Amino acid sequence: MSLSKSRVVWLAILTLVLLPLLAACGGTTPAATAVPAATNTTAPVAAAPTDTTAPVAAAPTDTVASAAAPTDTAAPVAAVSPTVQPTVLAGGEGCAASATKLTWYVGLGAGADADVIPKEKAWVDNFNKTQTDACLTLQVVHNPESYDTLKAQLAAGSAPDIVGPVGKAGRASFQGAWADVGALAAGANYDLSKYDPALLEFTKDEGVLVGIPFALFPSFIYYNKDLFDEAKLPYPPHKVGEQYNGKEWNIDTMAELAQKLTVDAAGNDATDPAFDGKNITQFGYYEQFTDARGIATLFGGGLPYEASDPKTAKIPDNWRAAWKWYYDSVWTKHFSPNDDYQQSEALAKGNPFSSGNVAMAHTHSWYTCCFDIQKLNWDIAVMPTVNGKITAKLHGDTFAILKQSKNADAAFKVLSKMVVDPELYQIYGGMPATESERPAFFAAFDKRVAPNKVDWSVAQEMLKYPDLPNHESWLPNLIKANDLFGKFRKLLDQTPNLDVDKEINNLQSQLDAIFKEAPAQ
Amino acid sequence: MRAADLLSARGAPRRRSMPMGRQRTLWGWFFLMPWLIGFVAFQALPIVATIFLSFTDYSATKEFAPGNFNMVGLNNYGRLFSDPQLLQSFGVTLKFAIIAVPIGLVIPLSFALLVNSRHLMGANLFRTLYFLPTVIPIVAGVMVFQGVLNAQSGWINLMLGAIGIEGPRWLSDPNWAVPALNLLGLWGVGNAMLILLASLQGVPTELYDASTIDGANGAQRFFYITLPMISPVIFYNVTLGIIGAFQYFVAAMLIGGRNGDPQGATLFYNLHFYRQAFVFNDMGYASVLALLLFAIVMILTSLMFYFGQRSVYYAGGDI
Amino acid sequence: MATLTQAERTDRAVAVRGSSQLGFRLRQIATNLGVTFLGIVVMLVFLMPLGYMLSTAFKQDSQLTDTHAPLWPAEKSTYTYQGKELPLYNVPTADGMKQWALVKGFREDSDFVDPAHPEKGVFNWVGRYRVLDPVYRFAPTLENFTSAWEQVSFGLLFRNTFLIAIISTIGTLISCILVAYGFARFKIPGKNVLFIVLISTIVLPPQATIIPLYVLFAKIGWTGTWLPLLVPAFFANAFDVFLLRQYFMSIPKELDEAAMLDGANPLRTLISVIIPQAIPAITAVTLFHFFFTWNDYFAPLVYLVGKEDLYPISVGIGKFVGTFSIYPGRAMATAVLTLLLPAVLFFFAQRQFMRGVVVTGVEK
Repeated sequence: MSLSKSRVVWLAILTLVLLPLLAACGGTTPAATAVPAATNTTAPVAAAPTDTTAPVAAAPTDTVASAAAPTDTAAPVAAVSPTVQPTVLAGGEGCAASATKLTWYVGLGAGADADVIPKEKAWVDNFNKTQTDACLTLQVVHNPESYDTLKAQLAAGSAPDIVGPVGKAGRASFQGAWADVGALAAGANYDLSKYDPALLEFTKDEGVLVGIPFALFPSFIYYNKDLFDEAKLPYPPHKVGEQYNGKEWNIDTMAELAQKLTVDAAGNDATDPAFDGKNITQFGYYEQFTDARGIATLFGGGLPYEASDPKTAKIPDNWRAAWKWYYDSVWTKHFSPNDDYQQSEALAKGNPFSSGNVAMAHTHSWYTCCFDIQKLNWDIAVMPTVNGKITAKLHGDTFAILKQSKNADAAFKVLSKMVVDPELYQIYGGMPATESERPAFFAAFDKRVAPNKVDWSVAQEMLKYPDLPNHESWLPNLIKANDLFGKFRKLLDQTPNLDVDKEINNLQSQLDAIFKEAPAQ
Repeated sequence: MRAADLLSARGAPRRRSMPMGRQRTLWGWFFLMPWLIGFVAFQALPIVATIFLSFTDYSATKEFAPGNFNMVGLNNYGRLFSDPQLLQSFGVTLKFAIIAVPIGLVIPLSFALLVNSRHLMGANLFRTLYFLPTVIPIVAGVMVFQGVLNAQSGWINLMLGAIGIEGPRWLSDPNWAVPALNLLGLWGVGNAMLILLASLQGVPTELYDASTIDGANGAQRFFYITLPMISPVIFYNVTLGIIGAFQYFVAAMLIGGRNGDPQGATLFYNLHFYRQAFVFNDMGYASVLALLLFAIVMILTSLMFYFGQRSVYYAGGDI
Repeated sequence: MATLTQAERTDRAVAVRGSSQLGFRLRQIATNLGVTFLGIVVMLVFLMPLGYMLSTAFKQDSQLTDTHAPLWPAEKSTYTYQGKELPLYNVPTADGMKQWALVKGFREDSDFVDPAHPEKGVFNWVGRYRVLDPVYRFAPTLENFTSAWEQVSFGLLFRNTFLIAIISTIGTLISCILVAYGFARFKIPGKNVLFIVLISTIVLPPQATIIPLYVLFAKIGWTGTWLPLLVPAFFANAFDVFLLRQYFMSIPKELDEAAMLDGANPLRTLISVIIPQAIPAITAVTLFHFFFTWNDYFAPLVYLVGKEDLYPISVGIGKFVGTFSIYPGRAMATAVLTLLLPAVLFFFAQRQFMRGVVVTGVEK
């Protein structure tokens, strides 16, 4: 009967192909403690129907059982508890027995990139070994699943304790879920008065202090020296007030420079009448990793509503000007990449400056995490003036504690150590919030970026020109507003021949609608 | 020459009354047991929870426990009538489904016939390779899709460019985004191909042999034997195709992001739902949207079963 | 009735046609070539994603951003001059095309050195080096594979994936075959309603059910283990039950009736009649489910968050798609490694689709 023949063949293949693999894997990896939990409990379920029914399935069950056998003996006791600590990674090994178990969740902001994760693990390992109060477990989930995963945990009441680094925008997605750090600090007799009140204000969401100021991430212009050299152009200024090529370093000078640094496949730059906007191979300037609000602050901070009435949307005039300037830079002057270019391989699929095909990019100091800072030949320059004024938008990511944390006080103690930890400053590229710690920080940073010599005075200088009000500051119905600003940038990046004024008015009326539906504060 | 006639011509009795009716019913329940238990344990709960949530203002940033939400009656249902994106998202979904459902049947059927053909040399290899794109891991899939569909560096536009056609801006032009996703869907037909292939294999060969003796040509054999014999599986494919089209959004979100870019052109119904639930933390209204979809698809499926079953031929007879 | 082998079928068809052997053979060869050609053409378009994956896996990430680079894995040919590796370009000159090494490129002129005459030293050439063709050589790199291997504990992840996939596939097969048989062959009061209820369980989007399910699994302490991924598999799922039911219903009933007359109980009939008849469909379900689990991403991610030693490979790749930086080469290398096993499995398993169907089914 051919059935039995085929069954034998099928099983033989399965066994032949898979068993060596299993054996090899089982032999080379440390036994995971929780594996038996799964196999143990399901085995009876699997066995019962197999006995009475399909013999086809019986044999594979056996293979599984035998494959699982070596792990069974490894740690049968640990299997019972679902909260067993993993053995392989930074999950609490080396903790003191009396330590309070805390979970640190990474992924809402920086910190979920392949090169950063090992550093975070090493930090946690070291932290667990060097004190006996707390035992940290690291959970890294990469964006965008990190938001959904955390929400599922919140819903089940099994959320982590510490979340971070996380910025205002990330925190906004979990409105109402954050613990008041001010109260925790008071409980722990932690002195917050050593921080600049303005800085504390900056770390508040809707009046609640959600973290201790950790690091500041000023923004500036990253520039690729090779591309300037190739075009025989001088580098942009490192000091406020310095001229560029005999001209004031303002937005027009920068635009002209950016156009010269934009090149098509035939080698023409964007000032050349023969320039082909459909075959650009190098761009002059890019507003990296930000939404429409971030772009708007190029021309100064602002709020999109009437000062007298937060429920009536009004786009500030400087924002309108900024968006028109930006739209022009994409579709008329061609020195900023449109969406297709941004996502193309030539611009590293959404990480343009790292590709080496973008001459200047505006973003924050945390970006040092995310491109090859040793291979690229780069430095940083100050922001240009707009109407005589400089604005360098500022990020102030922090670590926050979730209300749901069952050990909020213990979490606060860890938090207060994290925000002054020199290693974490390095890992996340954040400038210490306290000025006295900065020289040591930059000295260490210089080693990381070598052979590049980066002029960190630019970063310190740009701290003095933050966007006020901040581009991530509170708005009525913040999540929906952020959503609209994200969409608006995409609209500008994706759509040629746009009537920008009309679209801005359209945005304003959409904002107005969601502001009005916001619950009263 | 009908398949049914051929089968009954084989001399076996078509139908015979089953002995021991009551005992068979018990056996039937026995066989359904695994699902019935699983349904109560794992599947009924989410459905009940969704219905319950639709009457609350629960936000997915708090523990799902009493005190963390209020009952709001039918408020969430009322919001359906003032949601401008509801119709838009239905439009996008329909636009997608109208193309996706037919090609989701025709293309895999053609592939299945091709790799089932005795004339195809190296059929093993072809089957494997046609199937493989289905197995590309999701995380890598995004990169692959962008690598293929990007207007500037995507392979499709490079190929079109090589023959002198300027390819569309697939993922940034609102008019092209849905067709681009339809195109993407083609790479996932491996599963459907496999099912159809399995059912082609189930057509008794003597039907073909008999019809060949009777002088039927290839087309006749296809329409009078193959199609009726595999119609149960075609029915399965179409039903799941329709359900799938209404549920579609993961690929769209990987490519168009959570905003339904470009300009809402990929705001599928389920993305609209997802945004309410996970972006705006509005589980109450999201549950209403899920239930509405549930109702619509249930009606469609019931209609499919009511009308579709008539054109399906079950060699085992209906019970 | 005996099983017809492929050869016997062909022979019979030949006999039926009664045409001359030679003419028939020729016609058959022509058809074979035609069909195979069609298969290849379709495949070329179809393999684009795989081609992209493979070529990216063997490329250095720097090649992706090189706008001149070819689609295949390549490296710029270089010439070492005074200890520096300089890229070679094809430069049109009065004496025809020359391969010169670029020392320093500018927009309208460049410094080159001629590898044929290094003694002449560096000279300036007027023209745009950017439009010149760099000289590339085929240079697939294994770097992505090695660094992916270092960063991801493949052994562990593969074992995890494999165990999860095989256990849940077994559970799915057993439970779905039983349930599908129940729906296909038995008179049960309210069966149609039950079936619609079954189908309805696929209608609710998984995103709608994830929060309630997560809460349930967290309450019974299953999060952080494989149980949420494994246990539900043993209680049947609508996709596979529906498919198997459709298939079972197309199996002529007289086959199981014959078995019944011989005194077999329904379970015996299922094993000896229905399952042998349905091997292709069962294989399809097996493959599906195995591959589905192999690639399942969101559920393991949510249920196993933070438990990296329990992750399956699908979640492990996520590492290379960071928030602010991605590693296409390493992600694709991981994907290629992830694909290998399913590819091999599929290649062998598809024998089940080639045998033709067993026509008689009653095992005695």
